[in-house]
Amino acid sequence: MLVRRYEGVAFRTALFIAGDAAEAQDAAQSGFIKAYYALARFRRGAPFRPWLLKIVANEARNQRRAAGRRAGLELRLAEDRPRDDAAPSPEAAVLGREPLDEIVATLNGMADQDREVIALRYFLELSEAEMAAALGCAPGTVKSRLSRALGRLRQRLGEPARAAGAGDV
Amino acid sequence: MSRPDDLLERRLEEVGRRLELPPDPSLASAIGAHLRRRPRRAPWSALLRAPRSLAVAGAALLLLGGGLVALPGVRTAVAGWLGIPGVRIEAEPGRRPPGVARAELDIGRRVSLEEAAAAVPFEVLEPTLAGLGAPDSVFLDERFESGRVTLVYDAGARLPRAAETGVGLLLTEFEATLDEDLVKKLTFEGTVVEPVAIGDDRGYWLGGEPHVILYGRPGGEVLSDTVRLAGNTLVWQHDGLTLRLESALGKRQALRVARSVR
Repeated sequence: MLVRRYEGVAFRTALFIAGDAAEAQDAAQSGFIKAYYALARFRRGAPFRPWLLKIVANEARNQRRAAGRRAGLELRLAEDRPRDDAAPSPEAAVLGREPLDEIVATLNGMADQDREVIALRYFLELSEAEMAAALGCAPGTVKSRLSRALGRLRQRLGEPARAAGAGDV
Repeated sequence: MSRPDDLLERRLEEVGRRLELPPDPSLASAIGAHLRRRPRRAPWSALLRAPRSLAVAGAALLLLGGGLVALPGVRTAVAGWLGIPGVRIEAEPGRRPPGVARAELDIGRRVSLEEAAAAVPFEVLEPTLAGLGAPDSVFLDERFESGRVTLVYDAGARLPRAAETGVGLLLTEFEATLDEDLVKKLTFEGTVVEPVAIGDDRGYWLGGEPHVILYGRPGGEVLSDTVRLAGNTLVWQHDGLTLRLESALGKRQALRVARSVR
């Protein structure tokens, strides 16, 4: 059930790269079809997910290029769900709506490259190997790209810069 | 991955949980429809009945899983290993699924003919057919152990443009042993595969409907970016070298070019 198992992560990876749901769907679909053709030659024992995400991310980039559009998926938080528990927990206070809204607004103004790496890590919770595959870079580069993107986000949010390495995965 | 203790990182994770995203589309049925076709053997497949394509059938089953086990088109796929080192041709019954677009030609970096010749252990051969002239560009792909050289002839007065490659003619040369699948071709309904003779050499002509081509590395790793459509193609072996000629030329003309390769 590889399609069903991976269609969610494939679609969302394509979505953050292509920036458009219809294009992301096309990219995920043709990624799966290409993977199907190539699967008979797929190296046994190698993890499937990064390999698939790499193909899908490439498709998504091609789609975006073909559309001649700057990516930029407009991020939005869903409306607050009504909560049953009356007293907000300390965790909920820390993760209150307002700081999250501010983060989303700030991210929407950032460069695609920074948004992509942040989305893959924190929204899709991809592993480093998967991020490297999807971004088409070396695993070692993922850390530094993420760290730089977080640094720029902090700067825009007016947070003090953190010690080097603190933003690493 | 451990839970970050940094507040911003925790907030980013929370943003991820609360993002308003379009619902995940169900891809399985659309992909199944692409790959599920009426079973029909290509006419020449009877000749090649011996090794069935367990790999392709297995791939389909693995990808589509239990719900779609009844994929007669894919399960009856027939593999043809035609004795050209490094090349595997597999006939898939049914029509070619859409979804493989024309992709970039993935043939390595551009070099001079001299550079290419110096980089590979074999002699780089060229067509000597009058009027064809010298290649317009030469590419070297070093992902192959002993290198793969591709001569590119642009489309123009002497050569029609091949829709799948955008150029007039590609001649690819590489060394391979019999058990390596460096180039794989998947054919569907409408593609003709025919044994041909090129002087004393044996080869195959693939014409008609475009087929799907993909490249791999020894050891089985697939270069997944290389999946693309290919048009009229001649593959043959000459002195331990595997040659692949792709163009919009018909069989007779392609054979004339191939026979002039020295």
